[in-house]
Amino acid sequence: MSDTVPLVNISITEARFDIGFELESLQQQSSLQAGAVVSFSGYVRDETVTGETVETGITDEAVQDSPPKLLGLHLEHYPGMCEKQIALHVDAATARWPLLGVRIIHRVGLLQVGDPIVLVAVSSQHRKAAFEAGEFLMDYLKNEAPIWKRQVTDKGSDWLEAKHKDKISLNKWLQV
Amino acid sequence: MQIHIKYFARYRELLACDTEVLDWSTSAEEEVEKTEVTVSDIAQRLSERGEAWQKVFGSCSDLDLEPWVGKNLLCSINHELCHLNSKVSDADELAFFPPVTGG
Repeated sequence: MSDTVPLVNISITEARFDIGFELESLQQQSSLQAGAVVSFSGYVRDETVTGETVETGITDEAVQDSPPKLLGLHLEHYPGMCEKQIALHVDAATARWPLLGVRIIHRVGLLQVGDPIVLVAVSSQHRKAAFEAGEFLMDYLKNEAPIWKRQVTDKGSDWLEAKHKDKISLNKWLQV
Repeated sequence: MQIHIKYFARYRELLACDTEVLDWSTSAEEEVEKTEVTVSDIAQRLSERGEAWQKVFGSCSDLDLEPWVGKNLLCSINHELCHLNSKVSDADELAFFPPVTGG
């Protein structure tokens, strides 16, 4: 473990973020020992909504006519608990890997197709720890941060259902 | 005893309620003898409010006691995930919500 206290910055915000600026800031603010910055950024992707993910608000007749087209996502979060849950997992990550910096941004509110939703970036001396910690943080964020997505389509809107495969992704972190 | 309750996402919409303060001492006389109030007790009380509330809280007793295992109703006390049999105290902030879908 590094003796350096990692720089941690967590934001839940409606504002759009600049990924290049955030990564550069993380590198500059981390200790000069930081030789690696690894990041994951998630976006609202353009997709045709299937009947499996939209239960109500869209009639079968409308779905048969033409599949609903995703216009955007509305994200709701639990203020206070959301930041706390993410911070707990950042603590777990910094205890497990020798990280020098962590930057997490999760957007809420109405987002359009193509908009960035989430950024998880970590810095460390070497890339292996940064890759692993970034994946760990993203897996836990998807499964435990109290944030909910509502799909907005041209034929209505409804809440997204949680995916079982995201839950399975946590298992590998429990086996070590 | 006053309990602050928050509802999120699908349940906030179904119940047409985002936050409330539940006065347990005056609304549950039959519980006077009881020394501990649990999430399950509160869920039971809420389920008696009408059709939408029954739909959300009516099957609570069937739920697994383990949180975050793919169940449809999750609960937290003061920002910490809890179980149906977790104890609720005066001024606690309780929240009910569906499995999360962020990231």
